Amino acid sequence: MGFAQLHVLKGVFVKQVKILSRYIGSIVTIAVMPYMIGGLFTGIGYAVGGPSAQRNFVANTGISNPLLYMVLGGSIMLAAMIIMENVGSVIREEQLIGTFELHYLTPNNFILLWFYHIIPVALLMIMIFAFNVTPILLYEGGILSPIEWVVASFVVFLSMVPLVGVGLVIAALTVRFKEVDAVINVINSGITLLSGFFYPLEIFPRIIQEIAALVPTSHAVELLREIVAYKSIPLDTPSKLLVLAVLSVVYLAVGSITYKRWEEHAKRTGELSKY
Amino acid sequence: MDVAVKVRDLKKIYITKERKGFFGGKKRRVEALKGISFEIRRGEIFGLLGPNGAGKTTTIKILSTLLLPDEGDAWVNGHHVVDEAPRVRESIGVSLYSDRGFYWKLTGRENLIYFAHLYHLDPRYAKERINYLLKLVDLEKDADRLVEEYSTGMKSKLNFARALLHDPPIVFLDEPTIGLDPNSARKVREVIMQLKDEGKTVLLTTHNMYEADILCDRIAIISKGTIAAIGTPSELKAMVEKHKILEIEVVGFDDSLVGNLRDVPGVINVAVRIRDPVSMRGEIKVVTDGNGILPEILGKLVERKVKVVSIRSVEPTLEDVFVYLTGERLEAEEDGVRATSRA
Repeated sequence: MGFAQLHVLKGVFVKQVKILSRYIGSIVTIAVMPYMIGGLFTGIGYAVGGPSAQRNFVANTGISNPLLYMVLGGSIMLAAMIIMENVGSVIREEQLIGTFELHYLTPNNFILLWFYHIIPVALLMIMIFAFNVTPILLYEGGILSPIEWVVASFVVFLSMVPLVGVGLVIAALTVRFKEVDAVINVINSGITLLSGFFYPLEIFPRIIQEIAALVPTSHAVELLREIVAYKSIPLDTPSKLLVLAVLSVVYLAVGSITYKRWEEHAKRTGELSKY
Repeated sequence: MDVAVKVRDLKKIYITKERKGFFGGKKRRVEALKGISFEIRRGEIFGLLGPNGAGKTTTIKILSTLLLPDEGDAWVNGHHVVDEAPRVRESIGVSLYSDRGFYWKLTGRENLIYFAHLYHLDPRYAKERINYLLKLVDLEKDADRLVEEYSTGMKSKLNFARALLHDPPIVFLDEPTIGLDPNSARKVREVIMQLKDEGKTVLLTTHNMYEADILCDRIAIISKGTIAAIGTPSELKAMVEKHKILEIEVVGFDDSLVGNLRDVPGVINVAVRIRDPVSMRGEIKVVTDGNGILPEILGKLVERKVKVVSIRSVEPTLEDVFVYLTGERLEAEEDGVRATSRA
């Protein structure tokens, strides 16, 4: 990455952080949401499973603390949703406020530019992940070592990268069809269903599990649960990181190609400025 | 002659969809540009003068690389707008909207700092440049307020400053004073004149004939995607100087009268501005060949029971040139004013 690109990245980073910091209510909501979702599912679990709920949960998941399981899944689910929405709908929001075309007047690679917009959000989500998981770990009397934190943070970040590709596809589709919420909700639902945020994917038939293997967050959630629940780095971590890296390349390539095609179409039809 | 912008046979067609009922609709072709050509000399202020929908913004967007032309070519600072788009972007500063194009939760200064990063400006230079531009557009005192607190005039000035951030040799300004109060508009015009003094080339679109007259070295009159004439304001006005221009204030006008008046021998063109659609009060501008045809024009009006409030012969303005060439009036659809073109 050249100096010029670092300069652009710094500009985007500072802008995004300033804007995020001026919507403090949204950050607080995002930070506490995994606890609300986790508490909700844990409560439903006890209501359905009764006295044997805890025993069944351990037998099915191998993890003794359902709240940790749900909060961790909720954190990653929220991160995935926010990343996709950021790429998908921020472009549309930029069209609404009139800044979208202005980026196209600058001498930059626009795919990279939108990718830079995600980095501060991804870092925020890593902080929220830590903020959510740490109290439960402390309550259990343990905490992750620095190296475990580094690996966990890297896994969260790497699981967000392919979602930028998904976000670029959403951006192309939504700017084309003007139905941002509909497209994002459908894709979010699919990713949530197939990621195992709140249940083990083994409950699904084999074919669904194979499809779920193409969803990056399914690998991230599995790996993060092992790191956090057992406070150790599993031996298969490198291979799982490799899978995430390959998915990142594939998703980003698909996202970039789709976005470039839309961009060409938009420059022909004048849709760059239509919102 | 050193040419900063060269446009050859530029054509652009939009496909729009006309909606009917809940799901129905049909596609319609709108020819925004029908093969326009012009050149802008380095260091001059060149105006594209025309009403809304004439093709002014489409031209600026093609020259800014935001829109691809269907046919024709254009070069900006010697670079082709399609084949060398990144080089074109380095050469131009563009102001597209007067009150949009900002992050509302950032201050004016923070918005400029962000765009300075996107233009890869050195941080120290960017700081000095931003201070200079804020002073130039008279926004120094308000630079550290959030843009959401800015008035339309302040946003327009900030937009202007953003377009000049990287000190481009060529500046495109799309309706820079639209919606501004007289003081803000005057300030923006002063800055445009200062850009000329600095040797910059300015392409300005406007439907304000006064603005075009006082600012532009040369003007292209554009209507319905074609350029009707190009020249200095004096050259354009000379086109109608030999003609007599009558402005007739009437009540009870109806649109079919335009056709009747055009049929009068000696009438070159007619355009109407309706000021009150209830009483159909408005002004008819008639460009004549000057052969004393007023009685016949009045006869037509009386025949159609139109009440004539006043008649005066006026000095030619750029709007009269526009009426003469196109049969339309320039400042249409503003403040409840409706302009009617010839039948």
